[in-house]
Amino acid sequence: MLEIQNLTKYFGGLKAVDDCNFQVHKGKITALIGPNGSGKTTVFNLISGIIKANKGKVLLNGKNLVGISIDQISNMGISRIFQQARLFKNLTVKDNLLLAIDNEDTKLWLNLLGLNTLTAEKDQNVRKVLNDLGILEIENAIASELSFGQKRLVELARAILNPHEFLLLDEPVAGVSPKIRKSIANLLLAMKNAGKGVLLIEHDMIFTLSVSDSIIVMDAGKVIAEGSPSDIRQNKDVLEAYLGR
Amino acid sequence: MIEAYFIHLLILIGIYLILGISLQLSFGYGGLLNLGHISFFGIGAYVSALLSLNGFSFIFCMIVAALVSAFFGWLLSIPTNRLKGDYLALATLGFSFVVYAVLLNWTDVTGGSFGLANIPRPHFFGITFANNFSFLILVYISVFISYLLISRICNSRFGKVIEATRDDELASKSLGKNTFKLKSLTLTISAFFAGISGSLFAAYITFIDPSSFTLTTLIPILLIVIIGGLTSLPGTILATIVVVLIPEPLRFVGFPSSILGPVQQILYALLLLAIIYYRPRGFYGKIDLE
Amino acid sequence: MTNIFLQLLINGLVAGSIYALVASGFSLIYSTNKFVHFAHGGVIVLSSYFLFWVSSIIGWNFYIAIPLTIFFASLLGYLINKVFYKPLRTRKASASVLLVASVAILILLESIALLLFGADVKTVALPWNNQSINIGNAFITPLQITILLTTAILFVALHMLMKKTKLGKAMRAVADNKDVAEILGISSEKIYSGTFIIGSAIGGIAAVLVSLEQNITPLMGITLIIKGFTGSIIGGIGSVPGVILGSLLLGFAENFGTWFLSSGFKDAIAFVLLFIFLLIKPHGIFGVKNNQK
Repeated sequence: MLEIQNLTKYFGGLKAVDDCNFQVHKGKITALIGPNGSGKTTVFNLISGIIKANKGKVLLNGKNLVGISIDQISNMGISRIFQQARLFKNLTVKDNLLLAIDNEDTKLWLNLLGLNTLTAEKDQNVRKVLNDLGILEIENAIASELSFGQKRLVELARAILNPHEFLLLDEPVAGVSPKIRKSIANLLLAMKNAGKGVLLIEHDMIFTLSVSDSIIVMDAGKVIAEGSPSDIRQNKDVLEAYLGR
Repeated sequence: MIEAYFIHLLILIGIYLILGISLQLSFGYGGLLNLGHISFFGIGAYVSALLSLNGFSFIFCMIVAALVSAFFGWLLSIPTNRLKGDYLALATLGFSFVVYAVLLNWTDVTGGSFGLANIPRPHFFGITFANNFSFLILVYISVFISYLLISRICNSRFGKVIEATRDDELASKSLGKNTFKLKSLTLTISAFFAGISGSLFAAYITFIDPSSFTLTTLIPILLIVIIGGLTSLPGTILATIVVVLIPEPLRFVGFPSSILGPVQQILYALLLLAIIYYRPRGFYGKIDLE
Repeated sequence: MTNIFLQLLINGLVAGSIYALVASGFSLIYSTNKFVHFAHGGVIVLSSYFLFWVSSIIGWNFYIAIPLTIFFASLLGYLINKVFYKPLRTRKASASVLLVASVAILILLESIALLLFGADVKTVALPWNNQSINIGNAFITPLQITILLTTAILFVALHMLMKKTKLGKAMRAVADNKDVAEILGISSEKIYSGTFIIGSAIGGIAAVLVSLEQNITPLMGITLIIKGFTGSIIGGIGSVPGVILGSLLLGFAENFGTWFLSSGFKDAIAFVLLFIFLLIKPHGIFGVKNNQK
């Protein structure tokens, strides 16, 4: 289980995240929604280790992640995508994805002696995910040449291929066509069925309400509501947060 | 004699090629703008010269020199880990000034501005590489081995992961890669080969002083890497030949050496500026400059 | 019996003032243009040789040579921006690329100086008697007093420029946020040009004083710009008082340092300080944090 407890982060005088608590369970899709600036991406950054919390804890299966480096957190089982796709722009799509799967690439001597086991299996896994997302044909394209939508999909594929227990997705379907949205929804359900925990930030309410098992709502740094999609749809505070400002 | 002249040029090309591909690794593949790279060359030259002046066999001198340079490469990677772009460039430049100041002032060891003279030609296993032709062979064996190793590193998955770190360090970390270790290794290896190059340089010229290892000397090396094209090792070969040969015609115009030196610098500086503006991808570069 | 402490203080003040002159022109350019214009050292070197050429070779009146030198420096800086930096900027060159270009230009300028004037040391004679004055058992020359005064006046002038004039405010606006400044109708290219003109002119003043106080060699540009840069970094590059204070501190550190180390290591002090500050506190003591990259 991924749990945040009393999580607080200040930027100067601004409390971007204010004493937040929630849980993300494996085998479930949880959505984190709220108006712009409510602190959702900051929560992601706190979990993945990009910034350090001022107070509170991030517990991954009981272990506190606060203060641990980004790469170690990733190796402990957290995988994420960013709001702006951060691909390795000079490498091919295939290389971008192999980097996610390959855990021997940082070992210099292994590679120098030609012992890196980049097996056919890893290759297969890469192609499978590309296929599931409908973009197998861009396998050998250079990442910088991709369209916006393609970049987002490749980044999603990369996060999925990176071994993980929890997947943090920051606006996975933003700007994406309905057909691809469906593929992504199916992919997320597959992740859920494989026992992964998915936490997603989204503004597309239809998508969110259709795939999520539970929804957490944030506003001005605080968690203001939590519950099933039907609960949230009727929640007065939530409506006020979105419409009342 | 024409033959001696060509051998001389080929030796220079070989020495600068090793230096060039070492910078290609850290700058082209690693994306680390290390403006202090020439210091690794200098450290290698001085260590090798000192050891050979004390009678050690050349292979020993070269390897130790390379290891000492590599150590400084590793050392530099630690404080500069969090720096990027121009801050990294400036810090590494600062490092090179410190090294220069030490070379200039630690007169007991380095001879100060007088430098080290009468560096013996290489000898090991009972063979002395006294004449230029044999030295040429030694240089090109070193070139061959260096190129092979660096090429292997760059074309392997390790090469891909340092390229990824260059393209987006945060994303690389998010995939679980220890980017500090990667950047450290990159600088260390690149310094190692710069040290090899420095060692050969000292043994060839047989006299070194701090003025060979300044910002001015960095310009042609930077030029080589950019003209060749970032990440292109074959391009670096072509570029080294071009850069070493370009000022040579000036020799035949009859300029005295006091004119030759500055004109060569002016040529290199203008060429660097032109390449940055007109063709920043050089011959075979696959990535943009910065 | 010389008061060593006082003498070192004076020497430090004088050296620091020279560095402050170099640093203020340089950091004016850096804070607006957002890249390190290393070639500023080259502008200073060539301007020094220009002064030498006009006053010693052509033989014109010294008091005409000085403003000519300042004008030369200003023009040179303006041209460097127009010919090299502006085209690169239109191609969206990064700060790193501009830095590499500026290093190339620095080497270019120094090599030109070397080519035209040779490597030997040149001096410019003062047209007045520069006898040392005894102050409390330490010595200072009228020239050195001039240097201190010039730096003080410059400090005030720069401060007034930046805070009170329209141009200064426009420069600060561009330094703060170029895009917003442009929306407000400020032409950033014109401002960049302006900073090169003014900054290089200050460099010209530095060139004159350095040539008189020390001597002229082709390679002094690198050393001067490093010291100016170090002074800027120590004090904090966005701030005029910071840059000057940092440079003075450097002057003191170097001179008091020679108490303990041999004078050969004097230059090394600046290099080591530069390296350390870049690593630990790149924004310096007073530094204005600008949101880079």
